[in-house]
Amino acid sequence: MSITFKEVEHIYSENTPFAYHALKGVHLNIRSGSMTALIGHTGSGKSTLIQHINALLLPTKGEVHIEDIVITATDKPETLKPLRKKAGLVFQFPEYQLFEETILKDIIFGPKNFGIEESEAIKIAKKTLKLVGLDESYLEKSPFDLSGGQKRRVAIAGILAMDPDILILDEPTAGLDPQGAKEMLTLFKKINQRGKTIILVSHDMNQVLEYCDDVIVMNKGKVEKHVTVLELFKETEYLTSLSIDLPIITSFILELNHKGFHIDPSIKDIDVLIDVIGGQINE
Amino acid sequence: MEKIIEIKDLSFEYDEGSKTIDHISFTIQKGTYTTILGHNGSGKSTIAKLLMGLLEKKSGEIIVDGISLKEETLNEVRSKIGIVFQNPDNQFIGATVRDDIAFGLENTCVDPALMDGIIHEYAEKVNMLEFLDHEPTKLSGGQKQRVAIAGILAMHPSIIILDESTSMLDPKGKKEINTLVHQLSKDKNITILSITHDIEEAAMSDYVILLSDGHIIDTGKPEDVLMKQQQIESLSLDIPFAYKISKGLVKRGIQINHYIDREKLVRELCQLHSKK
Amino acid sequence: MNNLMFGKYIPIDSFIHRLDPRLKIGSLLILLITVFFDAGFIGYGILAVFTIIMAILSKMKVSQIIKAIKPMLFMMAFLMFFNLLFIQRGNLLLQLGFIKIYDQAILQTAYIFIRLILIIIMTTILTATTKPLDLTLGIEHLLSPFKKIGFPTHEVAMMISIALRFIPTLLEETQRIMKAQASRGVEFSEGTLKEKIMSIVSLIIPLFISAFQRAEDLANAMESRNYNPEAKRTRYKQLHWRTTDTISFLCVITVSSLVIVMSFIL
Repeated sequence: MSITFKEVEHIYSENTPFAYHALKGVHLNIRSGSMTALIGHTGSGKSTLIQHINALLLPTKGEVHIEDIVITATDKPETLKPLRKKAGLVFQFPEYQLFEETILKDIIFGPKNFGIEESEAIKIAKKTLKLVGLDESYLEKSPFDLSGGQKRRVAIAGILAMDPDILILDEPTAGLDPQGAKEMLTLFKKINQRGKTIILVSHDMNQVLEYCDDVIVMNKGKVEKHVTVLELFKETEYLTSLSIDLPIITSFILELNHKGFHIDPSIKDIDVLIDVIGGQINE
Repeated sequence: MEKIIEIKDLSFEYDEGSKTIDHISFTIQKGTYTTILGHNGSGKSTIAKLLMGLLEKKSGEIIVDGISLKEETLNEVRSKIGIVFQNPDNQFIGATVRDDIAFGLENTCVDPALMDGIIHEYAEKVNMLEFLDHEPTKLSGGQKQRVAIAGILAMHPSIIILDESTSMLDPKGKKEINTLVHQLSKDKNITILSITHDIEEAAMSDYVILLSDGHIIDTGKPEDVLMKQQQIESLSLDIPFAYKISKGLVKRGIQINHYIDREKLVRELCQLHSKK
Repeated sequence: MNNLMFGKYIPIDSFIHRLDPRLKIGSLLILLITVFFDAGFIGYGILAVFTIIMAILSKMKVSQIIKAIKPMLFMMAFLMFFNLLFIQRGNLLLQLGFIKIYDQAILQTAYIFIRLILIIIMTTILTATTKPLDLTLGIEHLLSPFKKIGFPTHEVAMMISIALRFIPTLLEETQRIMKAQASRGVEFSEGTLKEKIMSIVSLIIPLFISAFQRAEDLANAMESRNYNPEAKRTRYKQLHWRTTDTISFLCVITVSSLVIVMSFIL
């Protein structure tokens, strides 16, 4: 499911003294099946951008194409509901959207809203619960009896149960401990490998390097770069100008190269790096 | 060095039999920067709340600057500790930055005529002077946490507890707070206790307490505690990057010291490289 | 929320802005009571002139006044309509079938209109010239004598201040939750009654849970900063009663007494 933005602009509170130009002429093409990171400062327009993909927001100008569906400023809300299923959007701290009496009911809430029969939805719920790493014993529990990390998994299961073709994740690991973060991102990588297009909004460049193929950099409402992850981390001056830190492994390599080593800065794997360093010391 | 916090055989249960904190004991020396490291659910935030008397311990003793924490001594102990919680919004009480810093001053009966001066002084210390009349909805997470710190500093605490204060912030906010805390830690009159799951932060502290499922697994200097790979990894934590590299190199037969500090590692690697 | 003119504070500087909130609240109460005394058109004329003077002194714009009245127009029309038809005193002026309109009815209806307009304008002047927190402080001071009979004035004032502080935050959160649920297929404006109720439930429950969590976190934060409502506390914000306040108060008393006395005489 490819995503295309054609000269999209978004102005909040247009024609009022509070008007805010959040997106300025965004032109973008996100490959179907890719895992793309969306990075940029708070206020750069990331949140506004992703809400155009599932039509929570309509463009003030321009068009958004999701496969063959076109979204423009004049669309009527009722026609846009199917998009919410095609593009599943997981907001930050999604555990705050849980509300049903049992976890099962909460997970089937989404699918049911799109017309899936309850019995079918329950089957799907069981599968997605397992996918996020929780077993069936959780189904009848109240979502409010769980820990924060577990609640988050339930919330994500609820979106996965809608079987979206596109998955948009807004900082899904915020507040999780290192192990929790790793499990979550590994899950998304798995889903991506099954063919889903994934967009990951993240502030953690280590995550971007390890899990994503492409990256979009936003700044002041514009898309400044849309390149592969490896290409982006070569541009150290650009990243510094935006106060974006390099992944820890990349900055370490650059530091060593500064002091006489000759290590390929595109190395992502720490074991490979160790081998190369060892090799250069033993020569 | 004198002890400023002593925990003796402390236990606490959220629900019957849950053993959230199970018979732990530790001491913190005055003027140090200690991190309590543990995965989510290890009980680390519970310790912070117990220290402030926000939760009632089941058994054991908590001694803060020589005072044993009891119902009668709650106020006295609380006036010695300032705590910054995780959620920047849910600890911002005032309608503006000014009002929020004033809140603590009001509670401790500071003379209203002196309040403006104090508010100015501490807002400046945290670089929030231009934002004095801003409302919280117009501030970033990092700015709100800075205000929280200003409010605490204005009460002259001997101990500052940071309960995962950066976990809800973006990288910019995290940096602001970490820099500020680092500055504060240089003042030997202030003892800092930081509760976190960030291993790189723990690597920069003076002393680490490793917590898991309500038990203390290990305590000591970061170099001693954080280089026990199996121990750290079994606790759902990541080992420090520098240690990963040095360990890997040792495995491949390179004679190198183990480090948790990146700079030191880089230095030794360069020495080895230039020797050849 | 931005369109609610009735109740919104306008951050400019005017004579009324600078008056003590206690004076403004007290004066409003006195004037509101006075409005209900029937001193005929002369009485209402005096009140109207006084109100216009206050509006000018508070630098209120006509557009603001109209915006404040607009939401109430429907209710006013409704009230006036019923009064017109159901007051059956005085001389019969018009009869259409069984609908009888009397001259007293017209008079009373006119009075109702004037009263409502005056009340709306006066209250708007108060809220436009006084920050919500200053209002709370004023109310707290005025209610403080009741502390002696056990009324928790300070606690109530603190609750109001915190509620005011959190209203914008809660509104933002509501928006967030609505978007999250919309992303799960909830349509807040469409559907059967059952579906609409479900939509509201999916919004209210998370809001409540989050509100309770906030309350707990706040309580912890307040206690940690040595807050004790029952202990003595000093206050950062002080209210200063000035000579202008005394003079203004005397003007209000004079106008009110005049109108009330007139209502008994006429």
